[in-house]
Amino acid sequence: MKLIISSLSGQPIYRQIEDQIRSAILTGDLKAGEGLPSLRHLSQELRVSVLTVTRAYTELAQEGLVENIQGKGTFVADSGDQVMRRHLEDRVQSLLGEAVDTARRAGMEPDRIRGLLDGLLGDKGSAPASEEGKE
Amino acid sequence: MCASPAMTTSGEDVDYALRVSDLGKSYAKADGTGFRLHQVTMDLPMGYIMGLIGPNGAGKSTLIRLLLNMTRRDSGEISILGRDPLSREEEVKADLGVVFDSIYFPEAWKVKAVEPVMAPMYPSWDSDRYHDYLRRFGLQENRKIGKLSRGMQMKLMLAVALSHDARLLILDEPTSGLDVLARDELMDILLDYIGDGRHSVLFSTHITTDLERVADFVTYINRGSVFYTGPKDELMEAFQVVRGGPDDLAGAQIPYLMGLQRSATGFEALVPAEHLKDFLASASPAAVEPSDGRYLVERADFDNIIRLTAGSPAATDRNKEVES
Amino acid sequence: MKAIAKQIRLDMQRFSGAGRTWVGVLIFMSVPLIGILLNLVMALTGNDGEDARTALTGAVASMGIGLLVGLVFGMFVDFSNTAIRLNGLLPITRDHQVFGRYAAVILLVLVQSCGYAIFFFYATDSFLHGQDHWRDTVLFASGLFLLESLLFAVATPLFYWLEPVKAMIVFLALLGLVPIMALIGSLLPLDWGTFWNSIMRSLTSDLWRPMVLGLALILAVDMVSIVISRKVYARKEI
Repeated sequence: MKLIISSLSGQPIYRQIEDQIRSAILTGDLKAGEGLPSLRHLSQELRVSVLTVTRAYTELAQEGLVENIQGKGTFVADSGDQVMRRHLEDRVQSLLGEAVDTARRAGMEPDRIRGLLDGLLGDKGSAPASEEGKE
Repeated sequence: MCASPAMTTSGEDVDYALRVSDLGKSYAKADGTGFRLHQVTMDLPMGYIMGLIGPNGAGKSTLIRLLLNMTRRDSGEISILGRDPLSREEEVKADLGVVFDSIYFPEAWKVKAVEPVMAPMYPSWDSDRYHDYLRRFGLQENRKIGKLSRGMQMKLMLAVALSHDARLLILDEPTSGLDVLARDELMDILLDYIGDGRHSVLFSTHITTDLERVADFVTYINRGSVFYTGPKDELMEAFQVVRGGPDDLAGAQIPYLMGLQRSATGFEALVPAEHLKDFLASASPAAVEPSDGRYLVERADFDNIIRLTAGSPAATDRNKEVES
Repeated sequence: MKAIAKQIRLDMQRFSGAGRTWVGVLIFMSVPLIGILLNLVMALTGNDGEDARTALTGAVASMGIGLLVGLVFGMFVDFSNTAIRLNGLLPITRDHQVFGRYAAVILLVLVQSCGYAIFFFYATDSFLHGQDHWRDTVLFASGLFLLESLLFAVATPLFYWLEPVKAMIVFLALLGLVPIMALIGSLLPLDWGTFWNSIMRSLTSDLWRPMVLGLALILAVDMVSIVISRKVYARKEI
């Protein structure tokens, strides 16, 4: 499992660990039932504190992505990738909700909002059509 | 998620490597001023690393000397590895490894003199381990200790500390003589040391970057008082650093900040996370979003926290008697 | 006790300049042995009149005492710098450190006194009053043991209290008081001659009385000295 942690990124380290493990589960790099490195082992590998790793694992366990089995270690939950997906979908929904609220406050019409969305989807991640937003 | 309680060499279960409660010590210094360590309380669970941070003269070294009974405390309780270090001093010290900021052997001795002196002191001395460390650190037996560099002297103390199965390792400013590579290596050694959950580390330093990643717990001491003790992440998340222009700080905002530095080009403030909204709302005109443009808001790190609180009103109030 | 034994060993190692435990003992044996060698040389060169032997005996005694003073200074050298912190981290309580140090020195002085006994017996004819060579040997060796123990008992609390150099200065100053007091005493209109003679006679009339008195004196002085040292050291900041 690849984990790259940066002290300088501004993001708390436990969050970086969480995010990268989540991605690994989502993409299938970490399979259901697979064991994560032990707390102390990972802490030595990344040269970060044990509690930081503990926190990352705990939060992932609370999300249902991993399971902590007493005495054995932490393992990817059986339906980890599905949980991930549901998780992300929920997130998209709430982000879209925020975007729609903001758009309404800006007085944007629903068609205009849809147009923006299509533009973003069509561009497949290249620079969003921000020129249209600037008025 | 704690590891199972660790056993000491005497067979007792210990949950805490170190517990300090209401520790106090005051003395007069040679230059006529006084110093006071005041109501210091902190706990270090077994199996973790605690960083002891604070500006120079804050009391970190005094605290460590109190733990080792090198100086007598005026008040308070200490428990090391579950035992009273005063009534069971020899038992406790047999399980302690200590590294100071400078070598504690006479400089005239050679490296090879160390083992015959230290080995008989500790029933659990592991000679193979000791020589492995000497080799790994590149310490040559025939060199005079006084001729070793600061970093090598520290490594010698570390080799000794790690060679008798000490359950608690205490390091007092060990990294001042080391370069970055050596400091990284030290962090690796410490993480490995606590790897089985049955050893702990207390690490005092003013080079905070080493500890920021690796410490599980932090005790921040300032002017003889504990400013914060507890999990490291909580300390760093408890504060935000807010920067702004020289005219962007209103009087109404001052009560919400914990520390402040001003210069001709602007200010840097330490704001407790729970007060950030109020802080911004009290600006004139009020700022609504952190990304207001006037202010730059960042995560706090140890350096910021120490630098901005070193002379803070809260710390000063607690230690008014110090100034006499 | 184990801790006291650890301290004894440690102090022997300190005294020897580190590492070797028994070098200290050998050094202490060396002075009387040197005396024996010198005496042999004197005998071979025919230079062994009573004056020569007296001078040799005096020289050996002073060298031994000087060695002891050097020993005490050497053991306490670690108190003057950062090396004292070793005493703070070792698993030996301060009281045990004090007991161990006293035990180490008494041991060394005892060894040295045995050496003196051998030296005196083989290297000199008795120059004290009386013909009993055995008795004079025992008296000489015990006398030196007594003297050295007293000196150590006076010096040690000083060294626990002050830095080694300052302690040495104070100690030598105190020693310097002795000849001054003797000078003052000699100026007083008292008959010291008969006084000393009568004391010496009563002391040396048999062997056991001076021995018992000497031992009692050493014990008493050492006990007071230890109590003072413990008190001073208990409060010392390391």
